[in-house]
Amino acid sequence: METSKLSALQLMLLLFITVFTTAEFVVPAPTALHAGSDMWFAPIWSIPAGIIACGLAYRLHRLYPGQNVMEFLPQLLGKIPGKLVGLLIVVSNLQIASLVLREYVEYIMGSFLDSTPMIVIAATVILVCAYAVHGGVEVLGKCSLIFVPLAVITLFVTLLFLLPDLEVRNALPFMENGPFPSITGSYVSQGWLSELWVATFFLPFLPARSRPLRAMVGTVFVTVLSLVLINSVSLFLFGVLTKELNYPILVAVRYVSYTNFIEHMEAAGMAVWVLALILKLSVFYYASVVSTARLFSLPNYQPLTLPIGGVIMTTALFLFPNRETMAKFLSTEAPVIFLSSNILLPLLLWVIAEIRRKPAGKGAPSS
Amino acid sequence: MDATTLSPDLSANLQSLQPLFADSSDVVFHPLTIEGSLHAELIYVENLSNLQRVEWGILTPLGTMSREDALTPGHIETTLPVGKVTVLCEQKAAVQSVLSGNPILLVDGLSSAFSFGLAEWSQRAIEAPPGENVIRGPHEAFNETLATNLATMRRRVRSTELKTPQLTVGLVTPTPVAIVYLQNLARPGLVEEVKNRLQSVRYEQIQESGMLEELLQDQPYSLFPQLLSTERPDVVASHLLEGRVAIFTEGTPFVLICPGNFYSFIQSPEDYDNMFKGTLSRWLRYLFMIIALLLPAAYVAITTYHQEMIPTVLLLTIAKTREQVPFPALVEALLMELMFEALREAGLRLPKQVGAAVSIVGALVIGQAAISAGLVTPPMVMVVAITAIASFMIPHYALSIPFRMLRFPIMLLSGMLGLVGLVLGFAVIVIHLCGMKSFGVPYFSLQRPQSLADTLVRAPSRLLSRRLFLSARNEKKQGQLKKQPAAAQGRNDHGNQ
Repeated sequence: METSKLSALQLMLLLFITVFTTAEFVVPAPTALHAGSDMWFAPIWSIPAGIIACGLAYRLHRLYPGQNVMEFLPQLLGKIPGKLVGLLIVVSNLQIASLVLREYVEYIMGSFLDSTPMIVIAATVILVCAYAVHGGVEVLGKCSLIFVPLAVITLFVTLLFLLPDLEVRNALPFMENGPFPSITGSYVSQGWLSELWVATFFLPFLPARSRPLRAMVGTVFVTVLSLVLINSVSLFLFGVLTKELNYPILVAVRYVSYTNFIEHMEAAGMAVWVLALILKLSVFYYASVVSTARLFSLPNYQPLTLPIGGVIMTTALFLFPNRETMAKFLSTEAPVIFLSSNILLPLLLWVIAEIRRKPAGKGAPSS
Repeated sequence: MDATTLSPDLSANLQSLQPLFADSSDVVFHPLTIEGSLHAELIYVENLSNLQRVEWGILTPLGTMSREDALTPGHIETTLPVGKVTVLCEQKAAVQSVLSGNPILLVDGLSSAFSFGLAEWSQRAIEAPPGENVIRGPHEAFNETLATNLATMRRRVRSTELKTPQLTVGLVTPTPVAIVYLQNLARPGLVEEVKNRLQSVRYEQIQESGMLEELLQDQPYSLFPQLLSTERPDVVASHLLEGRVAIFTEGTPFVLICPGNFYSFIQSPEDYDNMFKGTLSRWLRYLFMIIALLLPAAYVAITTYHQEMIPTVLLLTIAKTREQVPFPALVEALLMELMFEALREAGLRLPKQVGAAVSIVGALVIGQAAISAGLVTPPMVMVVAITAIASFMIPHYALSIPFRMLRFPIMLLSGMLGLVGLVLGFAVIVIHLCGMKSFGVPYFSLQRPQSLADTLVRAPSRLLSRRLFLSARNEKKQGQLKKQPAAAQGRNDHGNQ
């Protein structure tokens, strides 16, 4: 078993960017649709989902130290059921990866390169990610140290320029219809926060004495806080109009105009967002490749990198006929699918693990 | 006769040695007799030894030596007035001794040769380092002689911990190579790793440490330098104190330092004069490093795909100049960058006297005339010029080369995909660097472990703890020793899951 290829900070950055990169675009509009003027604090309701996803990943990591979910599945469920559930996990990872890629393609095509063929946009980014995935966890962790601060700082500095235009009164009335609209509105962000379950593929690489749970819970709070910020900016800037916009944050960034010199920041913002997206795509790409390699009991995942990349790309291109279908899917079905594959399934696994542990493991260390 | 060892019979020895040096007009076989009857032979290369000292250190005393004394074991090497005498038993060693300038003496009846350390040849004086100038700091550089360079090093690091084992590299002509390190500070396992890699080098000749560098690298197909090369003794000394290992090669002033991490290539000795200047000039270097890599690509991307990013007034200016230019921005940028690279390459080869001609051609023809002929736009000339200046700002020449080369693919990418292409290219480079290791040390290792103090800024010297880059023990300033298990990594731990 290899250890300490990843530090707790790197894990934190990776997980944060995994959730945040696409959430910043996808979350505001559907939240506004359901929560109205309460949308700014709606992401807070997704904290439990995030903590459950992290807690499950962590607990299963403690029960089966040094193994990711694919590795302990056969021990947990037996050979054949283990493979079947493993297939489910592979498909789930592949699905998220393709979705991320499709989101990227739609976003780039819709806003910047409208006449470039879809396949070129998808292929170039998947090749870059393939290079990162081939390098392994260590490379992903180190890249996160460079890309994440760059992406986050750029985004928030850009939003800072919007400060004069923000209208805080848009947040009124506060909880007009009680807390339920905001809870309903938070379900998209809940779906996204459940993606933190992907940590199961990275926890085995942490050094023995690090405290991953603290890092992961920290990630949940930082992510939710960032989403609150994003939602607040959208709400304060566009008010109830937010729900009509495809990507409110993109429009907000486009809106930036400062001393007639800093204008139209969206291209620069897009550039650093691409860096973050490369990380997010690589995380699920890596999870797909590793879980597939494990499903077929291959000793080394690297030869699978390019073939799986091809699968992700093809799936991404044929997933939706157009952007509207994708947007509708992301704000309706996707959270349900994410929640079931990232929370329900791990929850079942954990319950089984705890039940199986009881009779045999009296002296098992509890954490 | 056994060809590998020397025999007690002088004529037999000569019979096997003389054919080796046949047709070598510069090798002298000087026969002499001790006390009229004992035959001996002095063999040396004419201009590789100090002849005066050969005369009064060897020939004169031998003329007065008695036959019994000469044949007494241990007598010749202890009585002759020569500082360094080695007794050699193997023919191969004797031949090497002659070839490296140390005369050998063969005496009839003794089955060994005496090698006298009298090698001396004319060498270049110690001059200022032409490639690594500093305004403030020592102005001495290494020269082409290994012994002189080692002496320079010894003068700077006066410690018994400084070790300098030697070995030879090269199949056809063995080149002496010295591994220099501080025994108490060098990263554990690093010295052995360097030794192993040097010993496994199978190559005909090593004329310059650059040839060695390629053979020692972890990733030979990476564009980025993985070993530092420097001709400044002070740079070598400070890197040795950080726990690195230096490789001195005979015949070149360039010393290799391994492992090289990314940040070590963008530091200059002058950064340590003044913390403010050090910090600011580092920021400037980081900034211009990015410019050297991305500016032409960004210009191409923005003028082709994202014109809305340019402030309106500037956009009008650029549009006006672009109106009469026949090429798209990408072609224009590629042409100009190519032209600049050609100028730079030509500038290297030119004799000094014609150097002025190139600057005239460069400035007037490429710059002025191309603009007035309407072939390129003035902003593009500016972009190329700024890029050129930026690429000269990297203190270690070796690191500016990958930036020069990678500029072109990134330009192509951004010509095709705009800023997306630029970012994808940038990401590939970062991913590549993140996965790279030099002698088991990650390329992006910080100068001081766990601290940005000597990487992002140049923190005040007082605050810079003495926990250095990768030394064996992390030494606090007060001299307390804190042991820490250093994780020595092998060279093959890259990438495999």
